[in-house]
Amino acid sequence: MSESQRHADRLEKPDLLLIRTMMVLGGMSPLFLLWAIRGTSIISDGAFLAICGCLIVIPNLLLGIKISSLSRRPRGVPLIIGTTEDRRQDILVYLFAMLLPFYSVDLDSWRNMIATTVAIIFIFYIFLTLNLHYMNIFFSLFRFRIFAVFPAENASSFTSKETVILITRRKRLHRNDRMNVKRLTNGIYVEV
Amino acid sequence: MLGDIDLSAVRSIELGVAIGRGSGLEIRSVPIDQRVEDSLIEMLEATRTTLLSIEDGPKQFEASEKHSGIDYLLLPNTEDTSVIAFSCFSAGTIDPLPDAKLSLPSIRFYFTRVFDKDGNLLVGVKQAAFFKSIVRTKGLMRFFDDSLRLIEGPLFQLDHDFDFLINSEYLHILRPRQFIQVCELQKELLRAAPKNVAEISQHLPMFDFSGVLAAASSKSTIANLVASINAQGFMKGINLDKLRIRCAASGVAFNEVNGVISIDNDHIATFLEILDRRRYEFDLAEGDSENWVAGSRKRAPKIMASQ
Repeated sequence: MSESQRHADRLEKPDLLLIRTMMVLGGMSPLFLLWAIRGTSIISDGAFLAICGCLIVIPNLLLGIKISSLSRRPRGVPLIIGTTEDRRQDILVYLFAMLLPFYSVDLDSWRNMIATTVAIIFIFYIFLTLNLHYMNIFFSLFRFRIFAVFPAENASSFTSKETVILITRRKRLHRNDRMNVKRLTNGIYVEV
Repeated sequence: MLGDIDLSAVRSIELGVAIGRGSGLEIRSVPIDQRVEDSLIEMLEATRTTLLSIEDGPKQFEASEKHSGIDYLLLPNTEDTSVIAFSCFSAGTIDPLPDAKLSLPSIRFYFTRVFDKDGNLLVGVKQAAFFKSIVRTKGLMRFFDDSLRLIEGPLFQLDHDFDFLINSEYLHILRPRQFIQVCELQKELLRAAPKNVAEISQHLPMFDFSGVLAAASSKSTIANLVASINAQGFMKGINLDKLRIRCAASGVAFNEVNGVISIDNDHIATFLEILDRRRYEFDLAEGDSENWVAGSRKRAPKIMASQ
């Protein structure tokens, strides 16, 4: 490995990693909220509330700041719409898949607390690597819709073959429309 | 035309880079901040200003022409002209570059695509020779307080302007040599040689073009001549007697069998240069007349017969 490659590895996209981490943590907000309400016998209510509060507020605040700064930029990037798929139901599946199992976990012993934390870290890692970090209940609360956008079929050979996620307030997207969007992370765009 | 797009009202902008060559060529987008966006728009504006300030422009690009460093040349923006340029223009969403820092040394050209408020699209393309050399030298410094400090890490240098612009109608070429390299035009012309030869032979059915086809499919100079003749339509309305005289003066040997004329393999280039209006004769001095070949030529104004 060359020196420049090693240098590049050390610097690998710190800003993208931060925003993606914040988005995954932000997606877990409902779970942290329920835990904060339930509490645990092994940590004082005040400390547990503070931890859960930080895990809810900090990621979503940073995400909000990022989206707000993107909305102030005068120019975006072009996104050409192929076919689309509404992905709002993913949030529902995610909430049930994640909230219910973890909410029912008993947090009243250190062993259970550590096991749950490790399980959360695994899920966190999976969400990060599978690019599922767009699932955030706050997007729905702010009336954003989430679309999977497939590439336009008749475009040139350089056109992406990858599906991207678009977070927008539009109710529907039309094939071959060119939209002016802002890039949130690789593969995830927001129209603000 | 070139002035259609409003560069003061750009709504979407992206920076793309090309890695690899030929069938392995890949196009990737690189996220940029607002200052880079501003710089790219300035580059587009500078290129447009330079193009429009060139006298005698725009002219049609000809592959066989010997080009100067800077000129204003036009080509239609079609897939037949250049697959690479057309694909950059018509591409939909472009995948992001997975690791920009690692890919930096292998970037061959970069381009920007901008849409204005009315949806007009303009693409600027630049060969990536300059910043590649900077990346390799590792000797770049900047003043930090009152001392010079080495700038570490891979660098990406934007230039003052682009080598050519693409809008919906034309490729507006400022630097023809860089355009030829970026678009791998020599390869494309070799690939297009059979089609160009077929077009030419339709207008000159008395000639056997099999030798020309073989040469045009393997030699760049012949492929360039064939492309130029076809693009300009120089094969139309040829008077066979006049062509015979010109060929004889230039030493092109014909073999005629059953009414079909074949050109000697050694004289194919000269024959095509005659068709491409590059061979001419001067008879100014005492003795034999002189034959010349024009590396670059343009049509002179028609001389009206004196009353």
